[in-house]
Amino acid sequence: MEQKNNKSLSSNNSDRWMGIFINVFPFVGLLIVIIGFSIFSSGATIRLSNSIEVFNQSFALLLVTAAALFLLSQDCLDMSIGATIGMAGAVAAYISKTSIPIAFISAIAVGLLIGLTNGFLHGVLGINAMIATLAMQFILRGLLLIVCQSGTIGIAIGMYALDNTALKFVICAAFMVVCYLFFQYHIYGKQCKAIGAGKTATIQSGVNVTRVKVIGYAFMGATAGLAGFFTVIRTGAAMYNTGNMVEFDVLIALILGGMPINGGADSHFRSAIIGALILGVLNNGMIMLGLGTYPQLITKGLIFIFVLALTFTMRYQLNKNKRL
Amino acid sequence: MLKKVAALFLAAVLAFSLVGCSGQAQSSSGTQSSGASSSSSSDIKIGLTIYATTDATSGPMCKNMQAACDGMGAKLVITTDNQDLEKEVSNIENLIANGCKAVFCLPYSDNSIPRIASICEKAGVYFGFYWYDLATKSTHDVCYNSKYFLGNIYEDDVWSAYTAMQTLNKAGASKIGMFGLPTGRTTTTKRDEGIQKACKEYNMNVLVTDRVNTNTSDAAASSVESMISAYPNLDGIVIAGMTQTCLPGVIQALKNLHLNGKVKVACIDFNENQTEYFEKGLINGVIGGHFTGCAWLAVLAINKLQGTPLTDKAVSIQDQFIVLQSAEDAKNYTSYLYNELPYTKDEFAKMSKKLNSSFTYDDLLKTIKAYSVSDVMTRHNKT
Repeated sequence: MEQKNNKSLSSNNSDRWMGIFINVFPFVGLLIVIIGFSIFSSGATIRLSNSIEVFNQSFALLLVTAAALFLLSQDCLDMSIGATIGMAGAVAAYISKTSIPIAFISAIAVGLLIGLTNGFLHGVLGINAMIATLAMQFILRGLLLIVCQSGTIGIAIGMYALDNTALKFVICAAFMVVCYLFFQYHIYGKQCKAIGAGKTATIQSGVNVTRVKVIGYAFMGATAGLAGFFTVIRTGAAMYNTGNMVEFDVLIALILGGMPINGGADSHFRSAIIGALILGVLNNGMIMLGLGTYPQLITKGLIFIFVLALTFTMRYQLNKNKRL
Repeated sequence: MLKKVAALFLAAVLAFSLVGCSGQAQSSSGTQSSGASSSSSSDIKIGLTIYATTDATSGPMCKNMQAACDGMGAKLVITTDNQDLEKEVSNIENLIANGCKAVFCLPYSDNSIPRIASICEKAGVYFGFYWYDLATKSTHDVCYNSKYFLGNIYEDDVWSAYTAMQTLNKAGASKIGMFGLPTGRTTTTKRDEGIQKACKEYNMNVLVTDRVNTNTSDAAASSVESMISAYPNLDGIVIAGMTQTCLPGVIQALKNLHLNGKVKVACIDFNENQTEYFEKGLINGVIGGHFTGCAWLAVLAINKLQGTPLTDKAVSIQDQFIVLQSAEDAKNYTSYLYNELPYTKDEFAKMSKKLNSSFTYDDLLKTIKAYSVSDVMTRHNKT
């Protein structure tokens, strides 16, 4: 009996440490990345000017990652984020020559429309999320090739004034606060996590799962539209591959931030911020160290697999022990 | 076990913190270029953002630029991964953050230039463009009104595409299948213009164009099979870009269809296997070798940053292509321009006005204009 109690005590301790590790790991990862790159670049990566650049480079990613949190927590994917950014950016660039405020509204409207379509395809028609949004990606990229016939669509000169770090910081901070409050405290956020934890039980609890999904995709699309608007301001033009591979960056960022791959109750808002920052610092640091394209891709891939394998195994073990 | 893992992580964090806090004076290894060692004696750092550093065009480009920097006493930082506008802008910002006082890039189009100019002007960093001609008056004005614009080196892309088609015409081809660059770059527009010009002049026809299946050899091979299937009378293929990936696939597909030598092939941009292809009669002409442009920009920038500018005005210089139409041409090119540097570090050192006060801008222009396989062979006593 005593042996059984000892075994149960040590396994409880082990589970406790595992839980602590899973929660602390993303913070530690961020710290390691920042400190590591600052050492290898002789402090270049932590200079204020570089930190501002990292923020500017990660701004769009921060926005879309925060929005994607609502989807991934429901165990839903959106593979059309990058293409939505591209399409919204192209529309904004085109309309900006007439009116910049209308360009802003149009970018968000286009993103919202795409998001609603994704929501309809997956939420209402029941098409697998990955397939539906992947198909949407192909459609949007094809449309972008048609829209950007001359290659790029330049923005109106007046839009350059909006490329302001302080403005972006305020927008980002406000957006993060709103998303945090909704995700952590609002019933919508809890419904998202509940769907990820157990869709059937959530349905049985009376939650309108279809509505939750559609709202999630619509919000994702609108956010991608906002990100698209600021992306074309940053680059000065839209082209057919604007936003290329952003959806993978979002996925990697959320996983690095400690998000469970299947969503659920263990989803935390901090995953979006920490993950996007880790990826931003990683991208910036690798370039500062002169790593070429292929080593960068290999490094990112290896880190992704390592983090996913480690956290997935631990969560599985933890959940298994809880059930026993 | 988990306690150990957690302890290990925290120890690593502690170790990094201690090392990070203990000192900052490490020699900067943040400069990397394709295999070459970086200079160590100068504070002058220049940056290059390019699509790759290892293929038959970008590799020599980076090596030549590195030789220019080494010879003239500067450091070179190279970034790749610039396949879209966002990444290109990020690369430029990161090069500037890395301490580069001059940065060079290949803009996607004139629309992206105001943004690049704005970033460099805010940072007080010189900028220039390689492989790029300023097409519109507005972007020309944006650049030339900036005191930080050094200049642009461009090739005559209309001429290169025209010459490729001329090669096919000489070989007897008139019904052409084309692999082209994606729309989105001024280079594409100019090469298309050159091809159309040749078509009018030589009564040739481009029956089919593929701008999509150019990223891998497999895709290009499948595309060739489709082209031949749809147009059995096709007798020539011009590859107006993405030659590195397209050409092997095109050659293989023609081999499978037993059409090597019957369907003539000409391309823009060199390929590692071109000597073998020429020897076996698989290709009829290659136009390329335009990889010295960045070295000339480096010469301009380093002279400027050393306080001895070659010219006070921004410049627009046409670089030279090299045309290969036989196995011997290809062998000479490989031996003297690819395996060795067409301009040695010592030759570049003589282009520094600080080290050689008699060097002038006109001397630079003469050097650029003379660039060819025979010029390199003569200068390096290889004739």
